[in-house]
Amino acid sequence: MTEKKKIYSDEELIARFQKGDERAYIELVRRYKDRLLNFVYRYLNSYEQAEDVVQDTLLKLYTSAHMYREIARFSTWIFTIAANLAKSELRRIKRRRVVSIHDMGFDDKEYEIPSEAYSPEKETTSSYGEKQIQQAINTLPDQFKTVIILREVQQLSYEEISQILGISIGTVKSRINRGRLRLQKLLKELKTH
Amino acid sequence: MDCYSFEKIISDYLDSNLTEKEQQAANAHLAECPDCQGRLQDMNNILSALHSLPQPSMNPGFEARLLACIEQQKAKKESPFIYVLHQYSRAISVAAAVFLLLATSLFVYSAFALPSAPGKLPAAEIRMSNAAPEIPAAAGSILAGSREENTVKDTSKTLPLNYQRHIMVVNE
Ligand SMILES: [Zn+2]
Repeated sequence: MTEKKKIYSDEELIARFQKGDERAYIELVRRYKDRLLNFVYRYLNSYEQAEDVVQDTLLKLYTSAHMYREIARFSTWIFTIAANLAKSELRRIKRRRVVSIHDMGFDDKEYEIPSEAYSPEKETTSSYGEKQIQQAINTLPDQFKTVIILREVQQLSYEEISQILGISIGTVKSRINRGRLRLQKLLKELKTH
Repeated sequence: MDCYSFEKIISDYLDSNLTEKEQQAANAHLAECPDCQGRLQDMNNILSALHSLPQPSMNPGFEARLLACIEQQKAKKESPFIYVLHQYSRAISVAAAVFLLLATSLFVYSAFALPSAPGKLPAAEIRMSNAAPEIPAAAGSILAGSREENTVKDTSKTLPLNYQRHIMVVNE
């Protein structure tokens, strides 16, 4: 007897969960917790706060699963929830630390050890370390930041991003374009500082 | 195409969003402009750095915490009164212990220390006036039935209350 486990799509799982199958919920949690964490972590630049936001997102999935309609892909729906929660969390964080402008510049450690020292395999003059990249992301205006993370870190398509953020594909395109140029400019500035 | 125009379409160039004509114009400019070649190379470096950022994963305890959180919310929704009891169970038991302790102390104090107390015992007796605060049940039992057991017969004077609490004498 060969018992093959059926692989359900996300949409099948949410449908099952809407009918009361809690195992389907757990499966969705397992599929999405790391992806969501990765997105929110880059957006907030804090692991703990990212974890909280992902927890809230998945709680919301539990309590509001009935709100999901099959017209959207499940992934875009759950990312929309996470993006909104992350956005309000960032607003909350910003309100709390209006004073610390130090976040914008290099910290002492980075002055001591140039980032190239960490990755000898990338000896080209213009390679970028994680810290520099994250610093530049932190400084991006929100409208570019979200789009850049969804596109470059999550590697989502223009269409998915447009659905998640509820903006047209043209707007997504122009924000990616401008976001990348901003990022390039910021990294240049960070390098010369 | 000039450098300014190339910079404007660099993102679309990388994502292959250009028409064939635009693509050709961009390539023609690139071929003769080292600045834009450098710009393109730099952007490529940035994007590959973004693509290869380390991806953190959730702490192993996350799932259990999430499910516990859901259970808690369910309980809150289904029976708010029991939820409150559950939520504040520690505070409630501490309050009960403090209350018992106070009641015991007050009882002992009014029975043996106040001069006007009607059931006053001879002054020679030393009494345990302080039950162990962390065991309210024990305080109850002292209150209930160990009056004789906790007495010392031949002490000639009454110790101040704060001494009394340190002396535990039990007859066999
Ligand atoms: Zn040029």
